[in-house]
Amino acid sequence: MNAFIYMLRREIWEHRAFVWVPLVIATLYTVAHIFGLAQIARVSIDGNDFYQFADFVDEMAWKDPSEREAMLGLMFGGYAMPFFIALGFMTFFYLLDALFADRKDRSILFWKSLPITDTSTVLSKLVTATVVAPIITLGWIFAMQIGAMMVLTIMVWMADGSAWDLVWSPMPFVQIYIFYAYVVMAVALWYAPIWGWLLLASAWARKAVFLWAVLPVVGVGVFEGIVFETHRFWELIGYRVGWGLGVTAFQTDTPLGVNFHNDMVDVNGTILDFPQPGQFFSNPDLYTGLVVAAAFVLAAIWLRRYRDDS
Amino acid sequence: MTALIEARGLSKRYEGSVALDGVDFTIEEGRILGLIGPNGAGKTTALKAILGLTNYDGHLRVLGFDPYRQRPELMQHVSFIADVAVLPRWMKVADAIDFMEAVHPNFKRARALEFLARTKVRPDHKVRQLSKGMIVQLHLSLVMAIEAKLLVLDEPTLGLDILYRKDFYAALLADYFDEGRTIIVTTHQVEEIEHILTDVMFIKDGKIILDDTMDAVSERYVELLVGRDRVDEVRKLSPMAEREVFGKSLFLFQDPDRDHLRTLGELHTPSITDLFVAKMRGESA
Repeated sequence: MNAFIYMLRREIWEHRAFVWVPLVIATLYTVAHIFGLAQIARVSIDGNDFYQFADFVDEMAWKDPSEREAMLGLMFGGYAMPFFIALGFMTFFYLLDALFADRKDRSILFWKSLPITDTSTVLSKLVTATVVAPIITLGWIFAMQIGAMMVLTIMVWMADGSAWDLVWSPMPFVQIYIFYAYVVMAVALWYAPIWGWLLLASAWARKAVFLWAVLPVVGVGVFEGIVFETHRFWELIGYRVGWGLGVTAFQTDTPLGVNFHNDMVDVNGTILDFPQPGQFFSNPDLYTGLVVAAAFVLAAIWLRRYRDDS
Repeated sequence: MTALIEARGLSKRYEGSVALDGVDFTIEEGRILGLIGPNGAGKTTALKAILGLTNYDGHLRVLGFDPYRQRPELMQHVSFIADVAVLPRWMKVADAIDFMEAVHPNFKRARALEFLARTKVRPDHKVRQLSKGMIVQLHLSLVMAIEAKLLVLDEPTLGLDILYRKDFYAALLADYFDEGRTIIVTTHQVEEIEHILTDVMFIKDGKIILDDTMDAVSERYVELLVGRDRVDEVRKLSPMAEREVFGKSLFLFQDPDRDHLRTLGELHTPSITDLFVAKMRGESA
């Protein structure tokens, strides 16, 4: 177990981007928050502000605590979006590199000189992509959220409100992090065939790993289009890579969210209304995907173990 | 003595070529074996088979394991340095030690630190910051800190300058080798390892053409130095090789009648290099 933990640490030592990319995003957010505060301060001083932050604070103070909670949940929960998009890109390139880079620079001869099974090597890459990297990102999101709450505290003070009542006490961190945990899990499971495919391409390619990952997919799609004049494969890929996760794991047909209109704030639902675990886990496509993913991962392990790459 | 490695009919074919052609050999515990052969002779293939890095035909057991099927188990007792600097360039020295300690049951951290203290390698260095010589020192420190039964070194000093090369083998002998350990080493610089070997194996075109202890080699092979006038007489005794040295002729014999030779000229023990050259030429003739 200790060995496996070090194998995960090893992945982060090699791929520092999993740490500093979310840090950069968190820093940009924080800088934006501070500039936002400065802007509001300036507007207030000028006296010709189009939007009275103090009015907003007043309005919030009148709202029901549960409504405040729901609103903060939706706003702060949504902060994670750019982090998750960046994480998606990093995961894609990480998995392409995972079983390829050490064969290219021959350091595989060092790794293979250690009493580590090829199965645990491949699984350490998969766990890094689906568990460790998201946890690191969530850590930075949390730090950034605390920073944002401090900025908000100053703003609320400037508007003579109670930061404890309006920000700290109603902040639904439990809800937000249950939501994030669900997103991380859904992404790991729904995209599993993609992760598996990338690992397989990474174990297979002797060069041009990106092309090995992409061209066969494009090839099958084009082949089907020319020979059968249908687009089933493209639809399947679109469903799996694109819109499938949204429709199967999340609620999409109700107007959830925070709406600002006529200086009024409407809150519809809470952040935990989005996840639809019942629908997600009863979708047979999830399990088909997992079977395909398992086949890809097993193939990657087999290649890693039995092909002479030295 | 127990057989550490046992190979029977070990073969490996690549597309269109034979790297190992049904070789048999046994390597006993507590030996330092030099595996010597020209490029492409099958040395690296043999080592890769022993290390479980490639498949093969025939029978091969290393410490009782089938290396190809049981590599992770085998690697608890075997360590190796390949012919190229293969330590990952992004890795920090301290992290490498932590990692080895976590994944390798027979790795001794204190020993690694002790070896490294004698070098200029520091724990906060990254591998990419080190010179080639320092990387080899680091790798050797890591490998010598493993309580392994078998150490495999494939051209370990390739590309190192002569000072490092001498230190490398000195450290190996002084700090690592004992009767419970076995070392297999391949190199082009035969003269460099000659004095540390207990056994020697020549390999050529996938076949073993010499496999003996160093003691047996010095008993079986002899060099005879004679003046020009006796050349024709000596040639009749079917020497393995002949060359000119300072106006005299030097002949190499296998299993000769020493008493008779002594009447003809001076006897010398041949160096492994000379024997190697003679064997390689002889086999191709």
